[in-house]
Amino acid sequence: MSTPEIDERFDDLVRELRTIPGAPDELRARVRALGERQPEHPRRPRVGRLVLVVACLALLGVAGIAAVYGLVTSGGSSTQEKAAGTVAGSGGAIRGEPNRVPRVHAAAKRPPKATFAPTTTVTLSAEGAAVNPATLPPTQARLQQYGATMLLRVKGVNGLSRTTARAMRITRSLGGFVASVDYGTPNRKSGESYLTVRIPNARVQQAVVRFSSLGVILSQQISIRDLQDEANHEAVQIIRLQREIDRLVAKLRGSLSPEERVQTQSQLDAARAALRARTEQHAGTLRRGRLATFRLELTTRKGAVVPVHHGKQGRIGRAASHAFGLLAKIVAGGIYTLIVLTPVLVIALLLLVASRLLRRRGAERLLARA
Amino acid sequence: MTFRSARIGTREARPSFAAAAEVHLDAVYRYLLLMTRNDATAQDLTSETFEKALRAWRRFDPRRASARTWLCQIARNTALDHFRGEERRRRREEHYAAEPGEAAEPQLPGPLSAALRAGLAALSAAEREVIALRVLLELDGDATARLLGISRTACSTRLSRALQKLEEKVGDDVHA
Repeated sequence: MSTPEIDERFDDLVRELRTIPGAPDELRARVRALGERQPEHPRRPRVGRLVLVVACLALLGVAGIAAVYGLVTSGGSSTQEKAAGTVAGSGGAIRGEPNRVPRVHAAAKRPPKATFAPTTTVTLSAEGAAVNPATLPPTQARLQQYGATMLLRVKGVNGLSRTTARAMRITRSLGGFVASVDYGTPNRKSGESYLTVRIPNARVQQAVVRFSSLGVILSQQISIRDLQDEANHEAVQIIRLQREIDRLVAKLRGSLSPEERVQTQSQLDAARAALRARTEQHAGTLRRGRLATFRLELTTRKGAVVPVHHGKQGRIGRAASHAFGLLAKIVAGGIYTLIVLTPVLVIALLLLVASRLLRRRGAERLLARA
Repeated sequence: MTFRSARIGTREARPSFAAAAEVHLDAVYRYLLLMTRNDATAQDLTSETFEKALRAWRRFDPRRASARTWLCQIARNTALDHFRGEERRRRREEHYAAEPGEAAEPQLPGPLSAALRAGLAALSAAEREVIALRVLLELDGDATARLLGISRTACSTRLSRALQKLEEKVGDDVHA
């Protein structure tokens, strides 16, 4: 009679308790009427399934955004790359960012056309990674001031010494000269060497290639300043001054009053002085246009790593790289948010558990009193 | 009586609400009757329980609990709401009335002896509840413990004490 776990001595009690009647007919009819009604609300999807679907959609959305971002920021077709490599019209400057290396390469393959900015600067640099040499050549048809700064990594102090000497030999072999050398090895393991060399503009491309082979290029900056307009202006001024001097000399040969002679002589002296200054300035401009300045910094620093060949990456590769970069940022953001929100979530969870516990105890007390 | 299966296949058979109500109506009513000791209140609470169950029927998952246990859980919450309301009403009356009116003694229907009725009246609702679940509804120890939110051991102890107390009360009444 008794169910398991109920002591047999309570059998009579149990038997009598089980005589408590069931639901009366009136109640049964009410509940049956309820049962004939269909549930009012349509069946809703389960919360867990809904969360899963939302999470999947969110993941797909993030992946889609990353893919679109990667494609948009990976650069356009080869036409776009060439366009990026073309030197800007007037007053502009091209500045290549570390992740824009392929664009600079496009520039290197295709020399700039006949339109020139007063100054064009191309910078290649990468934190801890090597970059490829950019052989942006000067245009022979115009007078240009060419400057290049290269940071190269070499192996060890012995390598630094050999490389410095080799750079000097290269300079001489190209018809240039070494303007300055600053070589220092503060300890046995590391050292740095700074060279400023002048190379004829006609040999700039060879110089870039040969200097690039001295070590791993860590950063590179090339600047081209157009001097043609400046030189033309100086030449025109020189011709004008020459004509003025000729006129004044002719005037002095004629008949002049003593005051006029003194005044004309004074003007002639001033014009000759101006001509000398202008001629020297023009010679300097021509010199600057003939010789390119290379500043080489050789270092043994081990901050750099294995070269990364950005130039060989296609558009798909860049797009994937950018997309993964964005995904990494999103994941990092998510983790950061989680770290920030974790204490709040833990407190909320504790409050929830505490409230449920209190509610349960309240119910226990209530039933004990009732 | 027809049992419609809402889901067929990998999931457990899920009875229709009407079928579940038909099968478990007596159990729910008896459970609430023993807790409240009042037939009218038990009927009202039973109706309320099944209305709530109908609204929440889509959330019933037979893999997590039997229909009887699920309905008893709803009935318990309904009864707790009722007791809370009653307590609030009693406090209000105590606050405003100099002498609270004598409430009518609830009556249990059925062929119960006077001694048993008196014994049950001496028990608390919590004690009557465990008797109802284990003795009348014949729920197993685990299901009862889960329903009450206590451990299985605590559930057994509570049942044993409640029956012991009831036995003593009935015995005292008979001797008297």
